[in-house]
Amino acid sequence: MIPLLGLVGGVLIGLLWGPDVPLGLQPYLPIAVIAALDAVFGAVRAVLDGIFNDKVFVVSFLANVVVAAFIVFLGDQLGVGSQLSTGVVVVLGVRIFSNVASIRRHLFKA
Amino acid sequence: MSPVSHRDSPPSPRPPGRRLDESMTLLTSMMERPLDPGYAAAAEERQRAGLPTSTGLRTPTVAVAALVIGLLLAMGAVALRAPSTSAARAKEDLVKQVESRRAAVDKQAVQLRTTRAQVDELQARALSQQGEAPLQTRLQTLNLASGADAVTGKGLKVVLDNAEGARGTSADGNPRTTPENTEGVVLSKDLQVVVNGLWEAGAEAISVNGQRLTSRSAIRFAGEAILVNYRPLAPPYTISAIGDPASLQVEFADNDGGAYARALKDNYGIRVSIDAADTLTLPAATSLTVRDATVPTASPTASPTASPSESPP
Repeated sequence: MIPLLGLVGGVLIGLLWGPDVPLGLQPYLPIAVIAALDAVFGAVRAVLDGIFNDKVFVVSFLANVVVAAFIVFLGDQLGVGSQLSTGVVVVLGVRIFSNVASIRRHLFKA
Repeated sequence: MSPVSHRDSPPSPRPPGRRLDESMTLLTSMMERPLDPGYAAAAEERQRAGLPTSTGLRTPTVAVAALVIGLLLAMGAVALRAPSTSAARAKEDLVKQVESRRAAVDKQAVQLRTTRAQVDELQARALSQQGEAPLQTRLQTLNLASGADAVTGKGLKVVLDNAEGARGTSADGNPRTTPENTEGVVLSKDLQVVVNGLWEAGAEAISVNGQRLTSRSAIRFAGEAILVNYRPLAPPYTISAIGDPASLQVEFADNDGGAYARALKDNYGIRVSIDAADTLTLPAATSLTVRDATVPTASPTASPTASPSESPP
């Protein structure tokens, strides 16, 4: 319940306050969003597995976002930004998919 | 999920302990263990310390992290929904400027017409007081011919519109996003020929989309837009010509302008309609300036009056 409230609260703050993302950070936003989603689904699966740990959750979330942004930044510097972004999206996308699949198995037993 | 080799080659002897899919460890680890191994490690440690494996969701850390993630998602949604690049923003600014300037011009045009009406009234009063009736009538005729006065009367309405499916003036002005059909577009030349045909047919006053034509008006092309009196117009182009509708129609059908309009309709699919109208109101031209003023020789005491040239273009 608390995480859901926090999520809704964050969304509301984001919508109402509407902070402007600095132009320099905008290329990293999509990647950061996907990394955050990956952390969230990983956490949901851990909860269902009964091994959730708040510290691991926060650290994995922050590390995901930072590493994903760093990879994109590195790719931009090397001139292969879009390719590396695609790589990050593929890896995180596969992880999200298999986490969601195991969440599904937990919830629907199917 | 166990990886399956699709090759038919007989299994080659491999050293024991080597996995079949060793070359794909990256993929298998990604597919088989998507969960952060940190969770399992932390759970094991807590178990060893005698605590439950899960810390539960009711910790402040989780609440703060959820808040941050929600904020991130909302920011991402807001920032990425509209492609607000600097170019788009600059374009928006320019559009806003154009609109505000255009509104200012319209406002000033109204003001100009009011002031001109006052000037005309004062002029008429001054002339009638000094007993210059002939000069007054001449002035009225000249005003009418030069487009300085709004006129109302019977006339002919010619509407030109781009052919169906023609490119038209695209909203973004990008030639790459617009279809190739450029033949069915009304060009400035088409308007020029039709307007000249109407003058030739005996029109007394003409306006295009509310822009009164004077002897000093130009119908020009700027990029994709047609400019009349330096104001861009959008299709359909409505040409209102004051005059006797019947004779205008006959004369126009006979002369070059009419033939040109028919050719546009037949060959390029441009939609042309010519209708008689009972009441047409043409606004006064706003871009008139006095270029040449003389003191009438008949009465040296009279104030100088403007004498705009009255020859049709």
